Amino acid sequence: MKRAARVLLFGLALLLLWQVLALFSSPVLFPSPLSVGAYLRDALLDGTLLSATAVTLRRLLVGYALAVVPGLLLGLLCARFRSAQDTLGLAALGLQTLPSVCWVPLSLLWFGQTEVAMLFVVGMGTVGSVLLATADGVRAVPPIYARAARTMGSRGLHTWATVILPASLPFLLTGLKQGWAFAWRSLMAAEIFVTILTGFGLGHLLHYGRELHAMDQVIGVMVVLLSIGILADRLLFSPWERFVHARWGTAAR
Amino acid sequence: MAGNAGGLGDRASARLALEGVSKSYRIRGETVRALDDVTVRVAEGEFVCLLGPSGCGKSTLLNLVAGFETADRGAVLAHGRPVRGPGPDRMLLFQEPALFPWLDVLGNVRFGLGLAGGISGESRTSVARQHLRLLGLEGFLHARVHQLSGGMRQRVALARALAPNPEVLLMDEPFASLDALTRERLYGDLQRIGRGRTTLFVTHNVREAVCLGDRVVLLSPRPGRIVREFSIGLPRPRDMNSVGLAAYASEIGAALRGEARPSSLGISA
Ligand SMILES: Nc1ncnc2c1ncn2[C@@H]1O[C@H](COP(=O)(O)OP(=O)(O)OP(=O)(O)O)[C@@H](O)[C@H]1O
Ligand SMILES: [Mg+2]
Repeated sequence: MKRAARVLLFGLALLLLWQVLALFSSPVLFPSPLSVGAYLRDALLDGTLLSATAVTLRRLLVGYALAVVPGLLLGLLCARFRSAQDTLGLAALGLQTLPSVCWVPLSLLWFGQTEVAMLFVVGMGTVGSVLLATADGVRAVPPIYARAARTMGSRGLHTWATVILPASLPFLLTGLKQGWAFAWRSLMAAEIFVTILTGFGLGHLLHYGRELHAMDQVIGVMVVLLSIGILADRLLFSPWERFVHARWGTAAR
Repeated sequence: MAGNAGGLGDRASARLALEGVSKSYRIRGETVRALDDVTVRVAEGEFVCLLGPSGCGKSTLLNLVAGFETADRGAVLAHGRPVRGPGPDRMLLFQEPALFPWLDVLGNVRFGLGLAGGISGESRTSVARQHLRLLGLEGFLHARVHQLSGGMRQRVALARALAPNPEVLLMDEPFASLDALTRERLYGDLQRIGRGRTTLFVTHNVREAVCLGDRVVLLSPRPGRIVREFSIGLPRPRDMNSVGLAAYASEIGAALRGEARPSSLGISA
């Protein structure tokens, strides 16, 4: 209750500061919270905001899922086999350091202005970091856990499924979260960069806000993006983080 | 040397046997001889304590028997067959509790039971509960590992090792990090529920060895060799503070000091 009040107070203070700053600047460059609120209300009512959000979220979730599955599996492979780490691991490192917008030109040439192009950019931006975090996480598992399991009769796949994987959960979670951040950034870069005829996402809305000099739209969409980021973190990752903290006894509250 | 004088248990009937075992490690080009021509035999149902100062190869010896390491020379036998790898017939209890933080107390104890085979999920839980009850942990079945004290964690680890009813129990200084009071409680627990189980117990605490062992085997450091053996003829359960135990302890302590450099002794008599 106290924490909720604190959040509310903080939000109100931000709005107030914004309003004060808006009073002293040009409404063309720095719209007030009220005009942004008006834009959000209109866009919500005429459906543009909801449909753009739906398009963007679908791309994000599908692209992320398509990247996370091979990222996790290949990461495990790299942790288990030196040869995989020396080859795949290196490729993933290169992929992770490459800003994912760099995939956009190639993606457009290969797939045209389609959904697949978007998913491709998101996937390529995500897979490397998930792979690396998985491999690093598994390697960081204290060897005593596997030894304890083996003396109790566990071996091979059983050890991996019941000991190595759960033991690396804290690290996997960090990797998945980082992958999510990469996916989100990749998608926004791609949506702002290219118009996809099959779906009009939040990035496009932002882009056309600039084209039309509609600053209330630009800032309004940014507010939506921000909220999605916070919500996704709370819904997708917080429960797992709470589980890990409770079990491992980290970050006591 | 006295190393071959293992009065209890000859080669044929021994449940565990190390026959002329040597093991070296290479550390930055230098060879460290951890064990040199060591022969130890443990008979069925016998409790043998390996006693020696830090670095004399006690953990190395246990790791060989547990199957985590292989000998350079000599034979390591369990149940008359060469040891080929770790297995639940030779349960190793580590110096640290090594409990799994993603499972609760009950889950940790059930883990080994699930691997023992032939036990249904329901009776697994009841066997696990029973062992936890014996060790005074029935109130903590669903506690998280990090919520337990060090001594409680060690007791959970003991329950986890004992619940699958292993033929042989290998223990590597499992009580070294605990205070004297908790330790004495656990000696009692161990004598109560570990009775009659073939056990190889490693320690550098003389009194602990005398309190628990049917036989105490003395190891010397660098290279690890067997110096002497003592049979402990005290009745059980043994009291840490009895006069008889103290007499044994002072004799064994003297033998240990006679062999090792005083500075490397880790005895808390
Ligand atoms: N994995 C290893 N690699 C290299 N050297 C090792 C390894 N394990 C043990 N040694 C060496 O072998 C010797 C014996 O080590 P060991 O761990 O068996 O001693 P210990 O008797 O168990 O000592 P402590 O009572 O301190 O646990 C030491 O000199 C150690 O440096
Ligand atoms: Mg040791």
